Amino acid sequence: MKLEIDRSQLMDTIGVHIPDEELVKFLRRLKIEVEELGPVLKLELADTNRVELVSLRGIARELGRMLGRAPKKYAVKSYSLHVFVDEMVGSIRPYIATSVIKGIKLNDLQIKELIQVQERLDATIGRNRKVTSIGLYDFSKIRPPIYYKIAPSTVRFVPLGFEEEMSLAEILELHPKGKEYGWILASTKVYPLLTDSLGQVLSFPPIINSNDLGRVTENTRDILVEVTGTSLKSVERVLKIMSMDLIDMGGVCYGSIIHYPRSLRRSPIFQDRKISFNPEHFWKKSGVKLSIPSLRKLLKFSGFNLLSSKRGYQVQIPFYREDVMDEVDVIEEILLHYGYENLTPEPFSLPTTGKVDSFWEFLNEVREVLIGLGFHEILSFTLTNPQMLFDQMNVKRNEVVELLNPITSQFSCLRNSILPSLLEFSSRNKRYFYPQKLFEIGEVFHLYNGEIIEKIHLSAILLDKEASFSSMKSVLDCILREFRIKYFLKEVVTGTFIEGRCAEIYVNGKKIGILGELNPQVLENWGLIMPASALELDIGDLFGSIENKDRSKSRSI
Amino acid sequence: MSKEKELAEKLHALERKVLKALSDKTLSVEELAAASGLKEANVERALLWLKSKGLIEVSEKHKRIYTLTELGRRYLKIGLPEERIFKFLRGVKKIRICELLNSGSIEKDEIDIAIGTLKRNGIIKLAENSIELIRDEFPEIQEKRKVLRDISEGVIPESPFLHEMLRRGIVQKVEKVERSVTITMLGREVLKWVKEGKEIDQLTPQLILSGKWKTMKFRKYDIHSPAPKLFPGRINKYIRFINSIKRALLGLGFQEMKGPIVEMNFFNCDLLFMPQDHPARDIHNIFFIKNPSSGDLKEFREMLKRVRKIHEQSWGISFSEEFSRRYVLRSHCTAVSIRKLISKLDIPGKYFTIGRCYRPDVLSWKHLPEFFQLDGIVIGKELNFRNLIYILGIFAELCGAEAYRILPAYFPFTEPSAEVAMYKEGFGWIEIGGAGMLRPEVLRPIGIKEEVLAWGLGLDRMFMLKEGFKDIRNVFSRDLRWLIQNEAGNR
Repeated sequence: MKLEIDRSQLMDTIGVHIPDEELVKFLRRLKIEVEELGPVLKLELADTNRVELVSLRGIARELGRMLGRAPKKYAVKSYSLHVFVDEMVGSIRPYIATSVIKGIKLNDLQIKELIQVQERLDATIGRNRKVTSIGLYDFSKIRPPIYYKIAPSTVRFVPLGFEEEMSLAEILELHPKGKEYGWILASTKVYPLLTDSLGQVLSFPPIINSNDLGRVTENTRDILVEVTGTSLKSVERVLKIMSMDLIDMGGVCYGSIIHYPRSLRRSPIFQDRKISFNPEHFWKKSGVKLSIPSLRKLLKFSGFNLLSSKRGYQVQIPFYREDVMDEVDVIEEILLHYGYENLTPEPFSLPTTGKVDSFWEFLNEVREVLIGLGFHEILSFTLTNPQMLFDQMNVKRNEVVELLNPITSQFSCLRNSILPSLLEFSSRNKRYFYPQKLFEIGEVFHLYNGEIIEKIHLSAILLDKEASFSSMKSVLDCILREFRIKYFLKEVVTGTFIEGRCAEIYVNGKKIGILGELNPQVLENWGLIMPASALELDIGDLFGSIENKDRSKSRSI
Repeated sequence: MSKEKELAEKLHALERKVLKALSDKTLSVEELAAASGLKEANVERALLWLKSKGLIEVSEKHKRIYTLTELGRRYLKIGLPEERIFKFLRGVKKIRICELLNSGSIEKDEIDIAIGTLKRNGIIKLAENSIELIRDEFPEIQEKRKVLRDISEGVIPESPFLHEMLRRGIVQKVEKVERSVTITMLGREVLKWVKEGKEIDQLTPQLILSGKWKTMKFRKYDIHSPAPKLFPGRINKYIRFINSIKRALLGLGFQEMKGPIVEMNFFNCDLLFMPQDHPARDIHNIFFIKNPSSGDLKEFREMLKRVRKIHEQSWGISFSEEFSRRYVLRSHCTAVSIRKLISKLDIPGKYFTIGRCYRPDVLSWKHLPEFFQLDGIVIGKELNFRNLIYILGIFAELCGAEAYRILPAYFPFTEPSAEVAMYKEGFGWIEIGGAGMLRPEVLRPIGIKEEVLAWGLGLDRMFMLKEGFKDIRNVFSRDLRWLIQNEAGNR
């Protein structure tokens, strides 16, 4: 994810100036790449699983650690807000987590910062609000407890940014946020709604907040943070990140008790985890022999504590580092602080025998033959379009493997034959030299009984004043003779080739290709004025037919 | 031997014929063709050679001439429109315009200009919708006909009507270059040495068989004159690069592995522990197949269950088996590596694959919707991250990089992970791909207990580094000239 962070704001938050070189190095340990090192830092966050870093304060927290700052303690004063979850939301958007941050005094910059973090979380872990969405409210205007329930589309309230009441249906249709996020609720007829004990609407998640309650200003002292969504894990994680940022801005956090139909949950819970850690695993996996004190010191840079007990070592992980799943994550964390630049390559020996499939060898032999005949090998995309495969080749459109989501009509399906690729190549090189002899070996895709079959084809074309059926038949004959393959030809009529000058190629009674003199209509379609003949072979099938025989004996001399 | 004699002996048959036909005269190309009995194209070729040897001089004169347009040629045949109406009116004296049109003597688009001309010349009188002949003679038309005839015969007419004809698109002005050829002093000397008939141009089987060649002299060739260009057939540059990598890996004890291009989500992503709602898996980042949209995972039912469990536990989202079966175009060759890991494999083992991968990127100098990746795995009990760095160094060497480095990176399926960049003087740094050690979340459901080093490198970028070009489109170059140029020097 791309982030833009105000540099001086970042430095102010950390409370110290970090020189450029060090900043880049530290950020790299967070898997953040600096794309632009100006007053606004343009950053690329690679680790999609470290969502807490989308916030400036999240980054500042980690940089502080690397500078040796003592970590801040995050705590919940008490769990006092009750939220009741209606069973009916279960099928639409089942989870909610809330907290109240009291005694805060935000300035304009901080409000902007909050909105930015909210938007980034909605976009990333929230998957554009589908999985999680965040609401912030002026808690003083709300009368607890809070109810998370469903409502019909006729319920009305004043949405943020509007002055008149609208129904939920109208919001989805007319409100900009309704238009943007309505797709999330597209499949339901009832909608989630958040109200207080007076029945005041807090919000219509994940679409829009109320204009009266859901607005945070410089005068707001107590803020209600609410996250709803489809993944409990993500919902609670997002709430933690938002709450931490607000605590950093000077607030005191109060938690909530969420009354689910069959269970109770508290949120947020700021509790560090412990996972077992075996230093030997680190030594083995990393190839770096670090002493226990060094390991402890490096882990500190991430705020991890190495604890020893009778049963062995454990690492205490800050509660917000939910990306850490296993011991391997701890091992990488140590390596990041050790510095990848300090890792040297370690040669190893693993006695194995190289093996490449014999088909590859066979293809190289076929290549050798064609090169000897003066053909140039080309390489084309397998992505193409039906116009090239059928219309331009003067044949009726047929089934091909199509893409569901092409980005251009130029590449809307996979090729079923290579010859169009050769013709396209030639049409782009007609001002060069003739005779032009081209070939390509590569993948084609067929549909057979509704199944996709991948094949390797060879196609060759000869463009020349004197190109004819027989000139290409000679080429076919030459290739097959090389491998002592017997074949016979059967006349066939297709729009691509001139009638009476086109044949199907059979080996062992199986059709393996086609050969012919190109129909001038096809040449005209490609803007070519040079006579041409071509062949296309299922080279995979051909190989199969010789592999069945004893190949070493069947080789020609 | 005198210079002139040597020159004469090396003259091509065409040159000899043209030089003899020219002799002391001054002739145009057409005249030379007629005098030598050669085709004009052959005369041109000979003139080019003769001129370069200084045996003739060619002077060019620009001439302005007039020719008939297609319309002009038609009028020459059927008469000018005003002439045709005049002739017709001489029979009927008076006619309505619509009847005139029906008579077939005049086209609709000619009638305005014809009537206008006739009226200006006082030949007719115009009354409501009809015209009447008022003069029986039309001398101007004789003059106009003469202009047409003259021009068709190549005579430049001096007529006041020429301008009108040009304006009406009957006649056009053409610039023509007329070349006249004269022999030079040297040419005359050389001509004295030219002997016809006694020299052999092309040795033929008949000449050898008959022994005639023994009594004849071979014409000496100008060994400096240009010969037709030949272009040897070539293996595609990129294929050659791929083959060189394959050979090197074989030597290092690697086995090649293969997998399908149209792949199920299960192999492309799920087995690699990529959460199903990961942005890299949506329709903006992976091509989906329209029809058939899904494949069959019956064979992998048990494994699917385990994969589902670990996804739901770790990512906290529900796992869709239907989505797992969806067909996509593989977005990386790691799909091939994971297929190998769940099939029969040698442990310890080294495996690689080179294949096409696809992503919905717009074609540009930086991105291809279809590209090649070099993927691989090394599996064994005692493997570490620094061994992986060592392997990456081998790849750097294979594509001629002078340096390489690894940087921290994130992939859902590896931990630790690294991004690889390579460097060459004059080219700079280029990101090549990713690498890492497969996560327990990937290995556990497929029952692998050993360490697995894995990497996925952009082979196209390695090729760019090796060849030193920055436009990735050259990988699939459609420029024949680029493909066959300077091969030997590049190796």
